[in-house]
Amino acid sequence: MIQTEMIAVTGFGFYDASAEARKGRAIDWDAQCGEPFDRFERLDITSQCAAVAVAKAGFRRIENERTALRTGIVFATRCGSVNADMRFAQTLKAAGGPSPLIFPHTLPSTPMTACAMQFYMRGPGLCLIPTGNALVCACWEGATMIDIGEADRVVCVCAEGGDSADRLAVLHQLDPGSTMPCYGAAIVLESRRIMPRDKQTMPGIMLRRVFVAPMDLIATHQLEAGPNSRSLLEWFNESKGISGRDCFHVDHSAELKAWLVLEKSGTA
Amino acid sequence: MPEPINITGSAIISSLGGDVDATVTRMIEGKSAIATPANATGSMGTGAMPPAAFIDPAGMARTSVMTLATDAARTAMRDVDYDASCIASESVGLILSTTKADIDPLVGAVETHTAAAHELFSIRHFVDALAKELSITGPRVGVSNACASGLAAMMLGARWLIGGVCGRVVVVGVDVLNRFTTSGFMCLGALSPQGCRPFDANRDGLTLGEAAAVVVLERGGRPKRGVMTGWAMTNDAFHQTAPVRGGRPLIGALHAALTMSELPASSIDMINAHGTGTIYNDEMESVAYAEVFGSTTPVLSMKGYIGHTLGAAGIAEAVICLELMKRGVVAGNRLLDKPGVSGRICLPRGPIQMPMRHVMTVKTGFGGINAAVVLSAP
Repeated sequence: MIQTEMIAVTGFGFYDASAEARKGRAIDWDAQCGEPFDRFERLDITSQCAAVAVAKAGFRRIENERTALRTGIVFATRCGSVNADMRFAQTLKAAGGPSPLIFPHTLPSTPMTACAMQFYMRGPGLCLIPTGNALVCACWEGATMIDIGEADRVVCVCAEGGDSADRLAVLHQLDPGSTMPCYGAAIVLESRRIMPRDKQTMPGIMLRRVFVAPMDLIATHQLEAGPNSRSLLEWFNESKGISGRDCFHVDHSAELKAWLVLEKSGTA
Repeated sequence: MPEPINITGSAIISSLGGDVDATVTRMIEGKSAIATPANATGSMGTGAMPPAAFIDPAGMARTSVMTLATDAARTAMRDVDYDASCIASESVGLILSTTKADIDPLVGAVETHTAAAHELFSIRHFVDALAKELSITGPRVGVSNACASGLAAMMLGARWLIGGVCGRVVVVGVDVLNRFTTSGFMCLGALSPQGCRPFDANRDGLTLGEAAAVVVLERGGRPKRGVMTGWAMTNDAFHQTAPVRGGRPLIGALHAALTMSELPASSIDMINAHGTGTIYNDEMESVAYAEVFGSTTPVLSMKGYIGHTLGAAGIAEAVICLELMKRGVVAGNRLLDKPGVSGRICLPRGPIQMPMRHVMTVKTGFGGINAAVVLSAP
């Protein structure tokens, strides 16, 4: 059984590129990330969403080699590399032939390895195609990695590359009401064992044992049990004391209420 | 070390044979399924193939990716030699390791820009369909970690068992040849025209293959096929397609897997290398193995026999490793004439009879993923 009480949530970021697009805005990398991140612009759209979410979670490029080796990433995506698949398929028939620049992006794991490169995470990396909730799935696996000692911290990320109109129509046929917007979300999990002693018992956000359940049941249960976004924001603000960072960006979206079941823990 | 994970059942359908025995026997005999388009006798999926060597799929006799996956999974579940009903069906998990799953219709969908078909042939729908075919009602997920998918999926299965998510995990690896994938590797300049020669001085690229392979993992039960005693993954965090020269991150994964298994490097009897036959991968691996294991532990690449089976490779080669351990034979590196790597490692050219207790199997993938698993005899 996972000892989730020893795992703290020290960062959270959400980036809704679909919402930005609806407002007629292109991605403003510097504003989104709090510092110049122009290198993100070279990534495919799913990788960009993932990387911006990680940056918005307050995660910065790791400079220390040992820290890098003990930092893992779990990436989950439901649609995978659909956009890159389409683009690469187009080049198969093009005069210039298939594109070596696009082909590597047809792997669903590309956003994971792109984030690992951008932020220098050299620990374990896992790319999941879940049938249930993507972020919950990523968090569960990240917590397990920490619990059995494979990593001290794991950045759990989910991202989707967005939908074309016909793709949305199909999704509605398969699962009425569902959409697959263009977004990225990231949660940073850390083992309290690696934190300074005075921070180990500080109030913070902890994962609940609710993750210990078949994955396709989790999403359903969490719809009923999740906190409202206001309390979520309060909890993330309180957890600043643990992380020592001041850069949480919480999006008040219904999706997040469904995804996260967290609880306040530690002694005041 | 976490409690060892037992491998209670296994199966493989490869281009060398429809089961473990046939595949390993032909491998030890030095037979290979590599062919060029000119002399291949089987169908290679949709569309014309680029001019390179591939595994001849005639031996696979596949009708569909789903058939391959379900046939292999059912064989592995039958291989578990006690009453399957002792674990409730909702406590059996399914993990699919693949890069593209049902790629033939998927490619048809993307080529005609029909997102509807793409959605229906996506990996997650394949996972659901496979679970239904196998009557598995527990947790299920797809793993797509490039060429390291298979070992990543086995590690995930081990974590599920440790975390109490389920009592038994069926880990399925499957990938098949298709013009989409082969054109991609071709445009990267990664395919060998005549067939891969891992670790050879004249190696000029990899040879793509196809396979379905399965392991059944449990915490209890009898470790009929073997035991997963340690595992680790690292990331190069360096480049999307090229490995870090010198293999430092892979060395880290090897040490971490040994640490988890509580075994010294000297206990490892054979290394199952990724050994694709590309210049940089084989060079990087040789340096890593020389540093961790020295020059006497045999290093075997299986790519010269069954090709590079992508998302199935980790599981397919793990299944073969377990059978080689059981038989006490290290197969030779096919088409190895003159070693052409700077790491001083032991590269057998023909089969060696030797008792084996522990094998390190390694897979690396695009994006710099390094995965290492220690497999031990039952």
